[in-house]
Amino acid sequence: MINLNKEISSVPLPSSFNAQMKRYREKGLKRYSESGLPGKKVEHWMKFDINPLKEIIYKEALESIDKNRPDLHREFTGICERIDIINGFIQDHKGTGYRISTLSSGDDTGRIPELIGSAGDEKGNYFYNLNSSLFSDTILIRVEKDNKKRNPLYISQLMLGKSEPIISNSRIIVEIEEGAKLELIQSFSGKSSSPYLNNSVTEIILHKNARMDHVVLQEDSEEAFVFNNLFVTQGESSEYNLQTLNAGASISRNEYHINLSRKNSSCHVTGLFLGKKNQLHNSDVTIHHNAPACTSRTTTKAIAGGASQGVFRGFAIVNPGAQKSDAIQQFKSILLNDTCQINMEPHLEIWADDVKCSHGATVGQLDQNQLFYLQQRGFTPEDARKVLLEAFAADVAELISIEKVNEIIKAGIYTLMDDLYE
Amino acid sequence: MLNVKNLHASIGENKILKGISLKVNKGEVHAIMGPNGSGKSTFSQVIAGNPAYQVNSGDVLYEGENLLDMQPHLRARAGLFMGFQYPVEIPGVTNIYFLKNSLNAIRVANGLQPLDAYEFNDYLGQKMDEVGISRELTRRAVNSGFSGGEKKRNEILQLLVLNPKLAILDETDSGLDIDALKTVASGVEKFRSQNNGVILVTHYQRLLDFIPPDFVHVLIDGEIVLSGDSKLALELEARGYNWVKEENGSD
Ligand SMILES: Nc1ncnc2c1ncn2[C@@H]1O[C@H](COP(=O)(O)OP(=O)(O)OP(=O)(O)O)[C@@H](O)[C@H]1O
Ligand SMILES: [Mg+2]
Repeated sequence: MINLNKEISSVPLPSSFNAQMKRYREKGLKRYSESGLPGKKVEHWMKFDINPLKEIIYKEALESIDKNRPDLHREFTGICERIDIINGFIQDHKGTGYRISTLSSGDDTGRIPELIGSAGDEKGNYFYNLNSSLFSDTILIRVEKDNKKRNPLYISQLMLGKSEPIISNSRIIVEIEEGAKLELIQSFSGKSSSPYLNNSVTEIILHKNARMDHVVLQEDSEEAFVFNNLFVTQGESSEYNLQTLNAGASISRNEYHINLSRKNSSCHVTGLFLGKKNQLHNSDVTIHHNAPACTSRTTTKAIAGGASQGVFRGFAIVNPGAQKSDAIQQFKSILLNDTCQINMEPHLEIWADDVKCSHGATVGQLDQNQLFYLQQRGFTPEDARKVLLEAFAADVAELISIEKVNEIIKAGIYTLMDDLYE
Repeated sequence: MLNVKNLHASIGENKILKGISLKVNKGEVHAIMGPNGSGKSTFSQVIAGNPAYQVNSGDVLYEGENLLDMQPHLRARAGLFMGFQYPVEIPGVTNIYFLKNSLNAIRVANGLQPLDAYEFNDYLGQKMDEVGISRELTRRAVNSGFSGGEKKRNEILQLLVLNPKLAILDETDSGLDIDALKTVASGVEKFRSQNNGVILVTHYQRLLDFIPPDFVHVLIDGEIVLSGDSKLALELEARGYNWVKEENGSD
């Protein structure tokens, strides 16, 4: 039983953990016992009330072998290589054509303990600490430069619960060697009659000239609390593109830290939030410009309906020495009624003098003139709204960088958007 | 086809239209002229059903039906078209998508088959040549970043593509260079037929030189104070509006 308000101590250490891993987890436990989860008065957590998830006593999830489990992205079959992580348990990872190892299967050669925490450990807090004190396995995906053509990799993080609330703390590490490329799709979904907490950490290390296209689809059930903690560290001239969709869960949060650690690296982070009912969402994206001539783009689009609430923050931190940094943050949102709420806060923190940084945020409603123009040309009021919302979301939906799945994801996004008005 | 009886309308607290009556039959071209702020666009928008305006009283019959009870898209589907004085920019929606869906929505509502992509392309190509619009413009987002003249040409392209029964063109001739004015005028001339009606809202005689109106109405302060034939437009061009106000003004 795990009570998030109390100190966590009783969770046994998995036998697959060596001394290094053991030390890492002990560090996590210590940090968590000091930090706990944030209260309502802590800066940045005031507008994002996580009390509902703190009040629950969780059971550590058991491996589920439910053969009738929901298959969220069946359409990816045949065009992606797939690995399922169910309730935090990594399923068969062989035969994908990728070089993959896990602690539990004993096929890791010692790289996991070396890499864990190296993509930005010191930057994480709260939920990252929670994961670091409870995780029981780790999967490593290593991509080397070779000329093999591979399908994109798809990691489905699924939670299957019953009447008892469960918690899982998955841990994924991705290492892309010099000049190598990876296309990765990650999804969060689940099914349960009681609430569950999926608290996942993904750490990504891109070496020189590496490139990664990353798509995260969070379409979790109404029972879900989903926390996606992402750490990326980028080598020289590397490129990282992230596109995220947040359309599910009752409480969800993304905490991203991207460290542009060597010169000429670039990242594009694009997020789309589709809020309905009483959903509560928070995304905090921090880009650390730690080397000269790096580029970052953060684009956030939010469409809120029902009584949903979203808090979006972007931090571009340009550290001393990161001259010729180029950072742009753009936030745009549309409120579909007056019960939903969106806060958008771009922040710039600049400690270098020769930089190009800008940010902008707009919160608005659908444009009445545009709606009327469309209707004067024969579009129904519903179609007019749909056309405008799709146009608004197009930056994300139309530009999914993983070509093999972009049409599928686009269609999926537009279907999800259809139920924003209920 | 259109019969407006004693129409009063307002925006918020402001009463703008103060009793307009106007009858348009098939095959007729009516020009509405009048000083800035007199209510010409308000009249056009109210007929098209813009919810930003409130109708306070009066009746409007369109092809025998109570127009004021119809939702804007149903008016459009019943063949009512308004060319906007300020065409609206819709970033993210391509002009060609907009035109095709607009045309097909109207066709289907009238019991016709929708055009498929090939049929539509052929049809559109023909109309574009008629208005002198480049293909490039149809691939761009609706009116987005279009110059003033391009926006007006685009309204005329829509007029020709949709081929409505009644067209209300609100200053489609404003802000055009001489060549563009000719294309717009010839577009309207092509559209004009025995089967449809046209209301031209304009400030200038030069459009009416190309499209001689059957009737000219002078709208001042929310009322039609004077109606006449095409000679009236020439007189207005020469003398302005003050004499009309003095001789016919309500106050
Ligand atoms: N959204 C609005 N809110 C308040 N008043 C408005 C609004 N739109 C128009 N008006 C007012 O209504 C009156 C009529 O405006 P309208 O646009 O119908 O005039 P118009 O005859 O078309 O003028 P123009 O020749 O300049 O196009 C004007 O006094 C105008 O200021
Ligand atoms: Mg006007």
